[in-house]
Amino acid sequence: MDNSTRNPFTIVKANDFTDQEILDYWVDIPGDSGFHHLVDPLTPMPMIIMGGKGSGKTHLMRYFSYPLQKVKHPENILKGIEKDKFIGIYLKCGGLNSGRFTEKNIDEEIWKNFFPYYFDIWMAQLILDTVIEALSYNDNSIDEEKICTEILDCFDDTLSESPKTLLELSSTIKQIQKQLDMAVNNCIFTRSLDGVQILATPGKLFYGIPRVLSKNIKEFNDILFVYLIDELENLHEYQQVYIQSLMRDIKLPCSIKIGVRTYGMKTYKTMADNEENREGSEFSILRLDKKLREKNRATNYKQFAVDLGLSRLRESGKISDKITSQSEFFDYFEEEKTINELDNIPEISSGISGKTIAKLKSALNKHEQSNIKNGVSKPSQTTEIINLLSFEGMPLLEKAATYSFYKEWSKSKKLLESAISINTICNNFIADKDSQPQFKELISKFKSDLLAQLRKDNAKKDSYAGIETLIKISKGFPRSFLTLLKHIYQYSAFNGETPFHSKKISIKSQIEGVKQSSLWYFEDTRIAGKDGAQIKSSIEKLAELYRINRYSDKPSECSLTTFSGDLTKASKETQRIIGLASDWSMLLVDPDGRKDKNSSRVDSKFILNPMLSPHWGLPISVRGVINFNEKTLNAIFDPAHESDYKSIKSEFENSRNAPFNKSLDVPTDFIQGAFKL
Amino acid sequence: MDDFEKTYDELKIKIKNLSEYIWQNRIIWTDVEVWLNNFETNDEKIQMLFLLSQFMYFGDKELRELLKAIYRDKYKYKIISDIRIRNDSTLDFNTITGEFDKELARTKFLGVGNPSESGTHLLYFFRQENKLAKSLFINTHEITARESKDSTDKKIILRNPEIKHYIFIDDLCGSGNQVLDYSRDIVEEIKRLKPDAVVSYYALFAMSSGIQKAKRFSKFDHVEAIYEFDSSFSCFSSKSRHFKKPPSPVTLEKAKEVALKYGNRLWPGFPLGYNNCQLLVGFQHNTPDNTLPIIWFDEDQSERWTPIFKRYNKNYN
Amino acid sequence: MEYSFFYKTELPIIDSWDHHDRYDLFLSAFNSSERVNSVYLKANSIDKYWLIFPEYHYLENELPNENTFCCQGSSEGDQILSFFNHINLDLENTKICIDITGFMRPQLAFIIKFLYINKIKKLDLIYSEPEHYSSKEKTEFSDGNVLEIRQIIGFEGTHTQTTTDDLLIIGSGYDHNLIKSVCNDKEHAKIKQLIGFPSLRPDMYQENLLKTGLASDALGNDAVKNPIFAPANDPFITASVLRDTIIELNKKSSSAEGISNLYLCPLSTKPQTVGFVLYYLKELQGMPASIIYPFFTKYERETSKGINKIWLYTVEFS
Repeated sequence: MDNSTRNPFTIVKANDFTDQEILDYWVDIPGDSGFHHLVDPLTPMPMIIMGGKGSGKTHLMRYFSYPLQKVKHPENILKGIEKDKFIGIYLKCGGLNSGRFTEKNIDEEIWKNFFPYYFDIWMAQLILDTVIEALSYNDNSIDEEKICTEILDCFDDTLSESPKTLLELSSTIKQIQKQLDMAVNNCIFTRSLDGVQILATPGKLFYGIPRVLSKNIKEFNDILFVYLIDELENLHEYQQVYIQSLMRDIKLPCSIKIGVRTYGMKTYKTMADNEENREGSEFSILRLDKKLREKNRATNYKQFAVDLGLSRLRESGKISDKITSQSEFFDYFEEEKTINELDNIPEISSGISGKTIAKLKSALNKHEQSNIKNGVSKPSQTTEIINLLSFEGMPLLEKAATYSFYKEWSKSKKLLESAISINTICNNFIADKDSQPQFKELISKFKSDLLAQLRKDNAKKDSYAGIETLIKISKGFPRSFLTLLKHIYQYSAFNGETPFHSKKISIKSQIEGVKQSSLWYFEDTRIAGKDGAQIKSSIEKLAELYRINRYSDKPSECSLTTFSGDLTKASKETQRIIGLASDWSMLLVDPDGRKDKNSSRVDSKFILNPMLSPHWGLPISVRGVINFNEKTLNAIFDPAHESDYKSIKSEFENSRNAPFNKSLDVPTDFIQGAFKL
Repeated sequence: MDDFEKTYDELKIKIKNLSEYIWQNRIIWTDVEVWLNNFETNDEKIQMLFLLSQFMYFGDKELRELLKAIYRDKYKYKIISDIRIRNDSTLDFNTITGEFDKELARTKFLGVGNPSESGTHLLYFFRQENKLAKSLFINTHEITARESKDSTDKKIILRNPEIKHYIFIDDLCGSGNQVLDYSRDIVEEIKRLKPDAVVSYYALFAMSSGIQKAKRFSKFDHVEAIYEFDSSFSCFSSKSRHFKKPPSPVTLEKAKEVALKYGNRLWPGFPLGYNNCQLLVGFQHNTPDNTLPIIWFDEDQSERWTPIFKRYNKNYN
Repeated sequence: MEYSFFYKTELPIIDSWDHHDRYDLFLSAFNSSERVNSVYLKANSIDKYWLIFPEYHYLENELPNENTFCCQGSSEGDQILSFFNHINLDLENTKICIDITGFMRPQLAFIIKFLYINKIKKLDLIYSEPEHYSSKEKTEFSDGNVLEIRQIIGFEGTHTQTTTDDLLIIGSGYDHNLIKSVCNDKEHAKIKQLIGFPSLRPDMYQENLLKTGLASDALGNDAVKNPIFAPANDPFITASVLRDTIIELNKKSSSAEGISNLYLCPLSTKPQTVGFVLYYLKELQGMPASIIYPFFTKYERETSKGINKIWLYTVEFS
């Protein structure tokens, strides 16, 4: 069996979603009116759509483009455009290859004059080719010669050619582009662009051509020409200045929608000296990432993700058609057995000879001085403590007991008395769980971390299995969900299972697939532009701290993968790197932020993308939040403060591990009911 | 996580990737586990798992491409180059292709070895990949003929005296002995009958020592391989490329010890592969016996053994 | 143009090269490898130069004592031009030989283009194959920090607004991060991989595929499962294979006009890079086709060990 040709989740091409699938995602979500709710193409005010990797920004823009209008109106596109009241002209800035319009011993001012003309010539062809295509379905005649004449009037000089049809006009403009390309491509040798003639004032073609078309073509009389300019981050700063100028000077019948990475906007300046465009004044901003992770999308995403998985299975045709319902899909994934507080867990030791107690014993023996301060001066007392905290056959309860004990130790309480008290609580809990509500709550909140510790202590692998877990890991990104399924399927087949046939996909295969997906996701930070290495290094430090917390004697926060902080106090570089990490979806911004306890300030809150958690054995569920002060933030994110990281890490570790040397910098912060999926 | 577990996990990932991207999903993990069960201890298993991760496999797609390379880069290029030199280094397409076609018409391609062995079946793919006419291919017995039909007449002639190029194609040149045999039995005869004939031997793979021996002592005008395995491909040699940076707890010494221990049970004459080649190589159609026998041994005798890359030719005594 | 007709020959690793043609000018890009240093010593030329490129970050005291030229400028164009402006030769009548082994690909591409437009008729190129790469499939060739992906200067085409049938052909090497970054930059395009096979050594093919496998999500299933092959050490067959592949893909294109925009990206061996360059110069200039490259901050100085073979390729432009 060639596994990959049968793997129904294999990514067929880099752009792995059909537009239809993403349309379904946006349209079918209950309570949401889809694309039109978010982006009104008929609003004349320019809009900037900002989104990180995987936010659906490009698909959103494509939704309004002419090719998709054709799909939506197969019977008559011109009537369709009339009905829509707009025509979408879509441009990917990468296609301009505008990286060549710099340096090469040409003065910057010359490039600044050249680029607007080149851009307008490019867009002119785009509009004309789109309109020519649409008009090919036209039954009515139009006066092409008149249109050509009026468009030629947009040029400052008479051209050498006199095209009479739109096709000839497009061809003429194409020739102009070719000449410009040749001049640019040779300027490294000629060292000049002197031969280039700028034949139109910036913007005249950009606005003029739609105006002429609107005036002369019946179906276009009352429509908006919506320029959809995507991937703006590919333009240099001075090139973005021109786009800002076009936005500032917006004229009917045109409107502009810009698609850009969150940190891809290099400037809001325009060509008019010192004039800067402002949000709310010259443009509005739609921040897609926030929209994606709004709470009411949680259940909708789960439904969509499973439907997506099912449809891929059906499409592959090689997988049984028997699977039709969501619950059947779930059934094909082996789930971890739910572990209750008093359960024995296979392959996890407990009791006096178990790993938990061994660690405790080692800590008590190692920190004699601390013990004496806490009232333990004889070995028999140490033995008594250990006996009080051992619960043979109940490893989770035992773990929770030792956690409580470490907590008391960290508060410098008397150790033997604490052990006696905890032993009583535990025995009462065993008899009746509800009789010890605080202890019950503690186990509930820290269960994931305590189980992770038990696995690690007993050399067992981290557990990431079951559909619910996969949904949580992919957290609103359909592409991530498919990636997880792809890798899980590969491992399952490689492990000799027959996924989606007779047997369930084993927990082992799921864990292996999830770990591989997580590693690859993290590896992608390296390709995040020139700051990739810094983002990667920062995420590694952050994850390291979270991991220290999770596997420490006394984790201060449960299920910790979120930090908050007052970014305004952090360095500019820290803010920039955090921003880029969000842009690349390594960190996910919690739209609600976190209210500071002592003031009315709302700090920013950032969740580590759960796709990264498995790589470091971190939790998937999002609960605890830790507040970092500016020193810690800078140490993690700003290379200039990297030297502080070692001591911060050390403090972090010491405050969470016996004998719990106090740290002033990292307060214990246990939030109930924090942001959840 | 200790070294063993970490290395085990990493090697599993590597083997999964090898299986997916290169081994055409021929091996799944359960096959590996069954093979590892041939070895007694965990330490032995990790050494062998590492060896498996170093195994080089050439599938159907690759073998066909190598056959194209033999034709294009070994046979054709030499002729083209000579044509150009003879014609003042012309680049004229028609001149060159015209002359080449004439040379091709005076060429015969032959396989090496027993008809049931891989050398001759490769010819089929060679012909397919290079879109050559059937008439260009002959068997070794068709090179010569008796001058007359009279069976008492012992005089031997070349069946097609106009043929200038005899091209022998093989998959693997091991010790070079087979090449020397062909040289003695066939090439010398051709040369005797037509001194200006150009007789070439091209292999997809060769042991460097074998091909050097063949070059030195045979009468072939050209003896070449696409890929040569020098001493760095002998997995336990001091120059072994496989053990440049092995992951802990794998070491060359331990791995060799294990390979020898079991190799001696399987093939006492050559516990580390025929002629002590110590290779870690296999092909779609077979695994050569120059490869460690622990990889391919499949003989159902007193020693029970499950191979990972089976060998089909059992004639290795 | 039949690239496979061009001469290519092996040079002896140990014996002298004195009986070969003497060149007027021999150029080599300085790096720390044995391959590059030993070829410089053996090359038979009236003038020889070490070109020092800033991306290797060599300090003054790490450089050879004589015949060095520090190429100035931030781009590949500026760097190469700075050298030729300095020496000021009648290139049309100069016998030139370049050791391509240590060159960065953009500089290599540009220098060939520069000589081509200066009407050089023939250019000899030397390439030394390594014994092996220092960490096998874990060898790092760059620091992976991609600054920008752009066209190599001199290889910018006249592109078109239609992008529905764009094609990206990547000459895939070991650096999966670079492969991923280029694929992501042109993610709307159909992607094909050109793999060096036969590889330089038998184990390198497998090492190569292990690395490209790490970029399989970005490459897409078709590129991974159906690669194009060309010998890793042969620029001329590489050029032929590219040409034949593009003709075939053009015919199979879903659009009547064929491929809308073509992007080539050489990330594998230097001989294959020369193949990409040759094919571009001969057949793609003025078309909607470019050679693009992921420019990064730092190149590794020494990634290989030993010398397996030394090749001499003769590129004939006239």
